[in-house]
Amino acid sequence: MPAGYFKSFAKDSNTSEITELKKKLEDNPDSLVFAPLADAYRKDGNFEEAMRVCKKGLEKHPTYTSARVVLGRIYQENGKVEDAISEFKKVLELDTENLMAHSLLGSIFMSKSDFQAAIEEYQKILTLNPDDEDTQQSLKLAIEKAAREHKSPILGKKETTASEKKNQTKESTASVTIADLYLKQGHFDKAVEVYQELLANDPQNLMLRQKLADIVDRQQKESAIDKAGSKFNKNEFIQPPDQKEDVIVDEVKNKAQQSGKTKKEDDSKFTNEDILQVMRRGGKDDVVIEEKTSPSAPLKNDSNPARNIQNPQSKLTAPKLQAEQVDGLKGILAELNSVSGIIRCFLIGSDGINIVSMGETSNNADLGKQALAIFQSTHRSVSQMNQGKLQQVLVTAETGHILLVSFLTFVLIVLANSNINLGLLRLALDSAIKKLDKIS
Amino acid sequence: MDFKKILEETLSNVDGAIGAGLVGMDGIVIDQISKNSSFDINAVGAEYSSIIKNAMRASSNFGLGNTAEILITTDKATMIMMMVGQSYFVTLAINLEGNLGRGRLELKKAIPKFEKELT
Repeated sequence: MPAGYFKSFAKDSNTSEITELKKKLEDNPDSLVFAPLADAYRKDGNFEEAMRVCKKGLEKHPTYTSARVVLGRIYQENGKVEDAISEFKKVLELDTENLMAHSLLGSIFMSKSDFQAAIEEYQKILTLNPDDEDTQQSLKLAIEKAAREHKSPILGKKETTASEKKNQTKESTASVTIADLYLKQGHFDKAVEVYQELLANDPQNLMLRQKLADIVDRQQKESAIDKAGSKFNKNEFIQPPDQKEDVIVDEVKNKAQQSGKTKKEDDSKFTNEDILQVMRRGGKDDVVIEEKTSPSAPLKNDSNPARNIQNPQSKLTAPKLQAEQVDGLKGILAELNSVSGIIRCFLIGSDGINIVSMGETSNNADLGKQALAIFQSTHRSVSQMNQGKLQQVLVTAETGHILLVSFLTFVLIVLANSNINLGLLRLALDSAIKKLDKIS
Repeated sequence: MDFKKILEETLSNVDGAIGAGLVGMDGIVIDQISKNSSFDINAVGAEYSSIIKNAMRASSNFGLGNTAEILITTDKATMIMMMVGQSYFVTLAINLEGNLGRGRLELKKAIPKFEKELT
């Protein structure tokens, strides 16, 4: 295939490239070249032809998500916004982690002033790629605009109708984000205000209760309120809703207002770091609530091995971990670590918490969580590819190797320098896994 | 040289190879070849791209520099992915009985050919 194929992806596509792609498509009408051809037409502003080529190609390759993204962009640039949204949503049905579709949806929602929906899209992108600076900026902008809207209450006090339920869910997610940002800045009163409104609309929402409970917790820590004097208990918020709800919310609000006086009152601008910190936490709280409220969830049937990982504390860590098991794990990891070239190795649980480690230990906690997130994300991709259960991921980089191995309900992380003999590493790993199996 | 030809050559030189493909970092599949109908890179190009991006994050987080190669082992197959320049990667899937070492070697041999075609 000639180099011109790639040039068609560049902005400065020209007629000769279109001609070339067209010829290729004529030579092989079943090929996937229709997508770059349609994209080239789009870049040339020939939307009609772009649409025709893309739709025809998609009739033959309906699951080709990249072509659907191209079609969505054609619609978007041609002013057919609803069609574009529909197309990007189809992409996400096929590929939930398609960053391009999330990003384009985000920009459409922003242009429609649907900031809540835009925030959701940008959050999803940052969950997948936290270092995406453009999206960080877009999210910051969306949150600031949503916060401004929030000041002229978007969550009015009116009765909720069934038809409004769906939209309300969207608003809730965004507002929780806003409340998190207020909390981060120490604006407890504003955060409580947002939670109060959300809870009024959704009294059964245990996540909101947990958030309110967290405020109490934080208040007690930060303003040194005498715990004995506190009228309410954090756990009250995690309980199912009861008649005391309004009283609890008011009490929390009063407490928060007392402490909030020590904080800046009018600094409602969010910094990038604020947003990043909230994003880094994003979603985790929800999971905690789910686990707390659904203790009997069928974890064994979950296709995600990392979610299948039972709470490691309950199985392998103190206090239930037997001394001989600890010694056994240490012994196995020490043996593995003795292989020339291995810098460190450690075993983590489903929450990314380090269970046993050998070699260098600096930063293990952070690295463990990051490695787990990467393993989980790779697992999802492998599942989508219908390639079975993920067992190992070996990443070879400029100055070393990272090996992530699924072991029962844990992930073993091995970091090695670039001089390691990969054959020997595999051998040592096989041996380690067999021994770990025995211990378990 | 045609991309497909390079992929075919790679596939035919590796015992147990199931399929191979050249994919852009945006998930768009440039070309692919498969011996097994259940292995269709076209349908999952974006997933490969996602895996590569995960690996890049891992390399960066662990301070190991740029990612060169990723090896994924599942209970069905082994997939090797190697970067071709900054914007593309080549992938090769091998069944569990396949020759993994040969697979890596053949991919390494194929990379300069792809790079030549891409410049």
